[in-house]
Amino acid sequence: MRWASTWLVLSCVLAPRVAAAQDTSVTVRIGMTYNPLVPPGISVLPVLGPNGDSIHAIIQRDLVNSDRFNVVPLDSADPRAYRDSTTAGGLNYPMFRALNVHRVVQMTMTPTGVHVALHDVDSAWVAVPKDFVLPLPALGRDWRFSLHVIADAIVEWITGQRGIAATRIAYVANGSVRVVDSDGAGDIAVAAEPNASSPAWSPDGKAIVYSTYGTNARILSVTLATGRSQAIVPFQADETLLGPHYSPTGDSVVYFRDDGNVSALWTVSATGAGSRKIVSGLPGVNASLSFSPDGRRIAFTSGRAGVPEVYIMDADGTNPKMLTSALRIDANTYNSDPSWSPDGLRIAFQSRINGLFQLMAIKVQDYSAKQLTDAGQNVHPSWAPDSRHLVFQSDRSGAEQLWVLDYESGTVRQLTHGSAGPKLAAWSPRLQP
Amino acid sequence: MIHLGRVFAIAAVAASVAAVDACHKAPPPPPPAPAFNADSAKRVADSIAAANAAKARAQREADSAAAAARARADSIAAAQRRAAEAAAAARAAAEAAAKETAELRTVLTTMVHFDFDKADLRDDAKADLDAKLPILRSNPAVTLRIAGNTDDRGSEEYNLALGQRRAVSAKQYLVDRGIAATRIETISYGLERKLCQEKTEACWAQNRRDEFEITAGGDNIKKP
Repeated sequence: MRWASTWLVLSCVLAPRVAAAQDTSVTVRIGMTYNPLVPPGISVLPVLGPNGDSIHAIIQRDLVNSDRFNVVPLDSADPRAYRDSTTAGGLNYPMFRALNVHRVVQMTMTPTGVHVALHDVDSAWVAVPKDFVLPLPALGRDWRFSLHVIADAIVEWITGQRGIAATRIAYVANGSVRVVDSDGAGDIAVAAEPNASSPAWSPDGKAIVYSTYGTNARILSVTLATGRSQAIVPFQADETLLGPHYSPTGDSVVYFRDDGNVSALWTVSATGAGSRKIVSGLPGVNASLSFSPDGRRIAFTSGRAGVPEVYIMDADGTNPKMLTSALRIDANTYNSDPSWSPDGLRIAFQSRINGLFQLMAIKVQDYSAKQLTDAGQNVHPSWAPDSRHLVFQSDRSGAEQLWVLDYESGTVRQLTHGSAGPKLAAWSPRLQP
Repeated sequence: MIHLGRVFAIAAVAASVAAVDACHKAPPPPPPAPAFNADSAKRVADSIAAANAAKARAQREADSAAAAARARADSIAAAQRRAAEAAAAARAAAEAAAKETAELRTVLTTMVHFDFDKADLRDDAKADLDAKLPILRSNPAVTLRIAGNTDDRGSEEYNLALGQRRAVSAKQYLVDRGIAATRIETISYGLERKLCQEKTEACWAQNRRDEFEITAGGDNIKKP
């Protein structure tokens, strides 16, 4: 299709298209090769102008956090140090080649935001630049979010897969639900209800459902734009309402109820209507469910075999199968807290090994398992939308914090640094601004 | 008392007065020798006796008035003493009742403990529950809330369910032995309400528990 490649080359020299920061449109494949086994060297040029340093820092950190590149920091704070007007793209490509840098991100401030150009060092040309709007106030939550959208676009341009910088993590600290950006900034409380537990995101990222425990135990849904919580399941005497989860369509919320004798699976609409039992009389204690991405199956924890194990069953409560049989060692076996990856391939969970919990991932297709952590105690994993990163709770630093793990490379980074003892982290879907 | 000597003395004085009287006038004819007049002696004696009697009566009246006053004072004091004793007895009874209520409350709120990941009742748990039964039977107004708790190991959400199992396990034991189910609520706190923080078996054992809270009728609990 020669005319198509001609068009592609021509389009490279056309005027840049302006796109709003909420760009989730088609992938721009720019003819660059990307080998995921060999992370390419990438550099971000310094950014001149007001808040240029912050823009540079946020974008560079997002590229580091993607775990897909070898980010090479540059010494000079002046972008002009890297220019060469004799080249078509205007950069000193031989210098970058000598640094093993294959892609360079160049950003220029505009009156409404930032102009982003991606340089292919090897071919010495510039991919189609794009303009992004940055909403004011600068350094605010929305402004930061827009930069994360840019970083995700850059990742997609290079690798063909969108990044996950424009996502957030919900969690519980001091009995309340909070949300933090994927880079650890912008930490805010989102719901005022005390005794909160088990937050879970709606598929559109606009609401979080959670439970409360104790004398006023309920299931509530908070709309993030307004901060308002609504009880969708009221207090039930002598029953415990366990962690609610949206079905992948977002229409309903599914959760276990335990009345002390009998475990049951219940559903209710996202607005609290139509509460009904899906199935009752499930054997043993059941908790901690996670939907398959197609909504047809549920992974969950059950004590029916004597010790907690991870099972999967159909969403109507039939056909249960133990997933973790191969990991049964002895009476100290304890497998729980499954999280089904968005691509449907794996279930991450926690498993007690030598007295401490570690993260494991098991392939749904063949039940083969891989241990993911061995430092300290690590619990309650939740997959990112890229089915590659996991957020979890760890005491490896000496205090309970949230950490992020890259399943592919094994890289870990600490997400939270406060003193609140965060737990029960849930990674959001891709978010709209 | 009639002093006979006084009678003669008066007679003698009377005689001498008569005699002195006779000295100033022409010597009267010698008076007749005074004769002992038993009648007038009796009259004198009687009047003396009457005087004495009156005096004694007065004395008696005075005495009895005093006695009456003393008796009144005594009875007031006695009444006050009785009142004080009654008050003290009432206080003591109240303290004893409060102490008894407190002791009975202690038995009702004694926590019950569990093995790791289990909700079934151990023998020591059953004994603690058995001690609560007679108190609950004798005090039908008492209602309880049982809160199930776990140690902090393992799945947070699984522990919330396990806490509910532990609460109901204890409730079921009491209900099976005659306590009305409507008198007992159950809730779970999972691992959220730890009594201690250490990562030791001793602390974990302490946290794996049911707590019993008296939700009504707890002010005046009678001994069974």
